[in-house]
Amino acid sequence: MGAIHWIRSRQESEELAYWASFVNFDPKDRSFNNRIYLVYLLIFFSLWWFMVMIWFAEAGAMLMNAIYPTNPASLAVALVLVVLLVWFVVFMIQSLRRSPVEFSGEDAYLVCQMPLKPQWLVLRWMAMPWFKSLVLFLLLGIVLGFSLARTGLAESGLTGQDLSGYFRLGTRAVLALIPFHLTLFTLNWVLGVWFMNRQRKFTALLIVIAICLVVLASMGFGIAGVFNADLPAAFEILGRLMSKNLQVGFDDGSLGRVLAYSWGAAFGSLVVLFFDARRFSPSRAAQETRAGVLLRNLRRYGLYTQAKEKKVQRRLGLDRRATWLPNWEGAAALVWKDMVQTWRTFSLGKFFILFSFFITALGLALLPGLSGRMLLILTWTMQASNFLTDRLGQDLAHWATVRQLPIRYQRWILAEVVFSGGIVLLVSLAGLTVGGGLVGRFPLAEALMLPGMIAAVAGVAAFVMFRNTNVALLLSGQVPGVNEFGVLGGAVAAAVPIVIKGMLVGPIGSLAAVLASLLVGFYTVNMAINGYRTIE
Amino acid sequence: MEAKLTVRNLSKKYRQFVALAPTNFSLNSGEIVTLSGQNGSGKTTLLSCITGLVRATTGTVHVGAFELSEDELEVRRRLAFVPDVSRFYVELTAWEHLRFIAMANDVLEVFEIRAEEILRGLGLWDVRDQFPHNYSRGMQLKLGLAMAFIRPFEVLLLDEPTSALDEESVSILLDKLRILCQHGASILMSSHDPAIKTQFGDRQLLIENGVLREV
Repeated sequence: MGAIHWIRSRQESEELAYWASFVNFDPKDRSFNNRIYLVYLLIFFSLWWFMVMIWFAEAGAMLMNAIYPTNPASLAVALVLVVLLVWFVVFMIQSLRRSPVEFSGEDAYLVCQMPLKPQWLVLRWMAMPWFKSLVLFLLLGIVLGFSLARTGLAESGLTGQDLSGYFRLGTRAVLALIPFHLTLFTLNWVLGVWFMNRQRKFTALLIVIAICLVVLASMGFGIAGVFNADLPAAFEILGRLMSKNLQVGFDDGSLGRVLAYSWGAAFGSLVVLFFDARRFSPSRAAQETRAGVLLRNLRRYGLYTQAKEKKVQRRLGLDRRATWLPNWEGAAALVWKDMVQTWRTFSLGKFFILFSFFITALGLALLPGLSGRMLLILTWTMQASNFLTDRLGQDLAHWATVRQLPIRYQRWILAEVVFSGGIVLLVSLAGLTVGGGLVGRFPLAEALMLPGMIAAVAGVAAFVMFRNTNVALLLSGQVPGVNEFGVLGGAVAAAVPIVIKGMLVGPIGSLAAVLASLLVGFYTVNMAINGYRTIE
Repeated sequence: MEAKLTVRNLSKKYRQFVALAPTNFSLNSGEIVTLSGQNGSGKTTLLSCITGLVRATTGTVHVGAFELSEDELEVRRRLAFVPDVSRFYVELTAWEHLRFIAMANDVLEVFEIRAEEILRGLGLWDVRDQFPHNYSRGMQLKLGLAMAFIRPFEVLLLDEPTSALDEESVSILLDKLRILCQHGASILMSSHDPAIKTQFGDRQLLIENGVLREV
């Protein structure tokens, strides 16, 4: 148990160090200066958060008075129950799909192979995820407590008495919420672990669903109860169980007795988890969760290329029979590869990106004003720069393969952009056509400007990508993404023809804009080609 | 004998650190040369500079009559490199990787027959439709070799090709390399295996702290 506690506490301190790094604090630094800095951080953020919460409370109080002025405390309880209900459902689905207890690849070798009592392992492993899950609820509780305090205050400025009111109600809300959240969180783990122990059999699933329905119905009755809805006696008792404890947190009444009940329930659920986890298999849990943990860690530390690759690997599975093998040769091989890759990785996320291109083009057809169009171009560039250079970046990550292809790098760059560019062009043309249909005039000039604008965005994004990389990174499969300079540069390049079209009216303006788009596109693609040559 | 690969004054510096001192050597037609040296001595740097994966600080690389910096495309057509750790496209199966290389090199003629022969020879035929990320390290190495064998080349550079292979696979690979040499290919292969270093090659090169010498 000592070893488990030691490993877990190291992981927890690493986690803490990660979050502390956002405020430039290093917990491992024991210097006097660092301790002074910690005191400063504590004072600064306590005050900062207090003021932010008060600011939120202003809006919260206004909403409470508008929605349910007769009893804002009941509204707060109902709101907390709704959020808890949604969270419980989402969290429960996750816990049923895979083990709620998560282990990394390192844990799988270090922890899961040790002859340890699984019940202690589960309990020790619960602290960090529970606390991380609690943070959002603490903020919600404080905001609602402060909002309630605000509803009882005069409009004039803050007094010392007001501050004590905020503090009192905020603390009460948090104190009531913590054991309630702990009970639900533990119940979630109890059911997740139990379901896993039962090999995820259908009968076990039915039992889990039945228990969940009782919990959810109780929360639902609790919500109805706080609004004094007429419920049958049995349902009312269930609802009271849920709402009564929380109600005291947001209202007056004996907090001590209620806290004793709720902590009793939380402790009881922990005891159930302890006994439930006796048959828990850490190795199986590691098998189910290690890939997810790895993905999360890769994203957390900015290794997006690897994270994306791992995600695709999981999605593709073991094998796939090749169905389309055309006899294309030379640079066309790259286009075939891009088509296969795009087809196999198409997802809902990609669909929404394409949809955003459609909407932007629709907006271009509908919006005549320059300022509105500029905003559209900026949002379009943010999506398009990554979409257009995605395959190029992937190829760079396969440096040893790509550098051996007998294809000129100019043709390689063009071939890698042409397929993505073609998709953006087609989708955008569809948007322009629909927009043109709505206003009764097809925007021909904008349609002719699109190829140049796409080339401009791709050219700038590729240039930035090439400039920010080096061979050592590429050989290890690391490719930098398109940064803010790439997006802004691309937006400026794509906006040139739009500005010209906005300034010069009539056919001359349209012609000048189309020519400008082609020139800018040609120039930026050349810039990217030259940028590639500088990769060292 | 005609030199297929000629390296003259090739060097690589990373700021003040000399990864590869000015190096001269050549590979003749049909010759197998082994390259050895401790970890970090500069073997991979030398191979990467010859291939053009890493830009050399000084020097020239000729493959036949073509110089790397002047006729890069012609050099690429004639020179193949198999790194010690190959990276594969996540979305393509092993078969599609071979197809892609064949398409890009304009060698689709009788592709199916050649690919089958290569994959059967390396023991990958039954797993040709699998994604390479599901392969073991040894299988990935074999796929890297298959990707080199499917395309035409005159010079083949191999970076520790036997490091993850079982005994039988090593024997098959060495036989294949001998056949390639009989057909006129020149091979430069880095290896830590003492048996390969002493018995397999026609010549041995040793690299120590970036300095290359013949053994």
